[in-house]
Amino acid sequence: MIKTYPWTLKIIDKERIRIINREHETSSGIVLAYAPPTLFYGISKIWCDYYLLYIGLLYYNMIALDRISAKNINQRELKRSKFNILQESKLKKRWSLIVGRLPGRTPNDVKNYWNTYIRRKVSSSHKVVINEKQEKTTVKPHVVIKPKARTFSRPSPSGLRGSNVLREEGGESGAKHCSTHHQACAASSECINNWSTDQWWKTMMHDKGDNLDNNQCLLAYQDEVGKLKFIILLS
Amino acid sequence: MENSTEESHLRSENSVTYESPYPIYGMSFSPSHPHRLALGSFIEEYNNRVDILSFHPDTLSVTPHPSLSFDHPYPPTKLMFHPRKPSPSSSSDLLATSGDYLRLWEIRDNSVDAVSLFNNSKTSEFCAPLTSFDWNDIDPNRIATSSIDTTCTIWDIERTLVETQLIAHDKEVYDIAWGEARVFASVSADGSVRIFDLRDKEHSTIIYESPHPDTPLLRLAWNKQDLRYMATILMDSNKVVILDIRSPTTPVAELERHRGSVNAIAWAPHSSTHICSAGDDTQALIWELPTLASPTGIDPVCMYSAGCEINQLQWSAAQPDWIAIAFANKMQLLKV
Repeated sequence: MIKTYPWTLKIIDKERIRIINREHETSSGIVLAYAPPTLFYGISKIWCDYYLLYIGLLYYNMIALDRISAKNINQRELKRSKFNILQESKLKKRWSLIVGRLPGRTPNDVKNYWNTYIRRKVSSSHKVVINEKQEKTTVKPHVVIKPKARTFSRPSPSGLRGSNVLREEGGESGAKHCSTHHQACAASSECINNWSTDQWWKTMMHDKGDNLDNNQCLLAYQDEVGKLKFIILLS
Repeated sequence: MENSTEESHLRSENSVTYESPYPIYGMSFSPSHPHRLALGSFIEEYNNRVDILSFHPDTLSVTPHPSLSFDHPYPPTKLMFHPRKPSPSSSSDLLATSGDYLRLWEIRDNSVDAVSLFNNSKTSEFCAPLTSFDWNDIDPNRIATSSIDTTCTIWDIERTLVETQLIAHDKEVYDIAWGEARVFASVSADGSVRIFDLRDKEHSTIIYESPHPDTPLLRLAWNKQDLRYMATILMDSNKVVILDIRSPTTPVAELERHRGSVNAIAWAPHSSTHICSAGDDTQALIWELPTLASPTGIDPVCMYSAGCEINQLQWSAAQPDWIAIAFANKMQLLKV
């Protein structure tokens, strides 16, 4: 009898934990009676029947709690989902061993009791799987680009004057047509070769494709650019 | 007596007022239906509304369409109709709205359908609110959105996918505007105006930074009649800053006749030298930019006075004679 004591102690400890969880879960007001290990040890030394009776009382209380807590099924499921399946199976094994010793109980009772909870757990884990699938469909991978910012230093007063002069002589044309055209060609080639501080903005305004109006617009812009360069050369 | 009579006469002849049951912020004229106007409510809750109105310049009246009104989550930060007619035979209209997401709605004769919701979140749990967007009028399959998570996103409308996403600024991006088919610009809380070219996504160009460090820039308008010019406004400032992208970092003009903060700016759709601004001083001013810089500053050519602070301003492209302003729960159409 003394040799089996550590095994029974483990059972008592785990069962006490479970009962405390149940009490918190249901808050039904049932006061569960259990003995501290030392006292139980004394009892088990003398009377084996009291040990069996004690186990039976624990099991009966568990069943009663189970019935009363039917109204709080959501809370129970929420808490029960935290249990580990492995732990459940271990407890199951031990309970079947214990119940085998109780009169009036059959292994099928234990089987049905535990299958109910295991089945619920499986269904809850199935829901989790469904959620994961839903999350995958919403993910749309794309690359987020961070452009490097280019800045300018303050332009010189001569640059400002050039700009003003350009605006003043907006309407001029005719005699300087050939030279301005040449300047425009040079400016275009310069822009195509590399990004330069003078002509960086031209590409921002030539992105409409082939079109008569756009061609006119392009010619006008090139014309203005040519004039600007011509005026700078003069000064 | 004569003066007040004349003023009253002018006002009744030149303006139409619509009173909404809720505060108004988002506004948009429809280019394909010249008399259609969309208004978005500004209630600081989840439930908001978008209303569709019809404007009749002959009888100077505005008619709401209750059957075309629909619920919108959060106040829409921007409303914009499709820049062209979707198809010649169709009589429906497409309206885009931004808020928690970019949404697309189809406005039919007697009903409104939610067509698309553009979501680029890696997970479903978080989305960065959008501050503004712009519909590319050269390639209407593109919409560019600006967000408080410092990014600008280019959307493919037909496939409801992200075409490009750029970390555009160092802080929240407050407004965005297309210039060309693949060129757009944005303003930010970091106080800079930046130009992006989708043909060179590795670089952007800063063409203006606010004079005081970290003064946010709130709105940006790109002159569609002359792409060399942009306009922007600073937070808590009465200036409208006119930029020439050929001479960066220095504005070509600063319009400083408002007596309060400026809230909205709009270039004229039919003129390259006219711009309208509205602000907290309850005034909407129309400016004409001269060819020469004047030492004494530029004066507006027209002035309208509303009852309270003007929050929004739209210049109709289909009917360039009319400007819409929004203040409190009223929308007013002004003839220019």
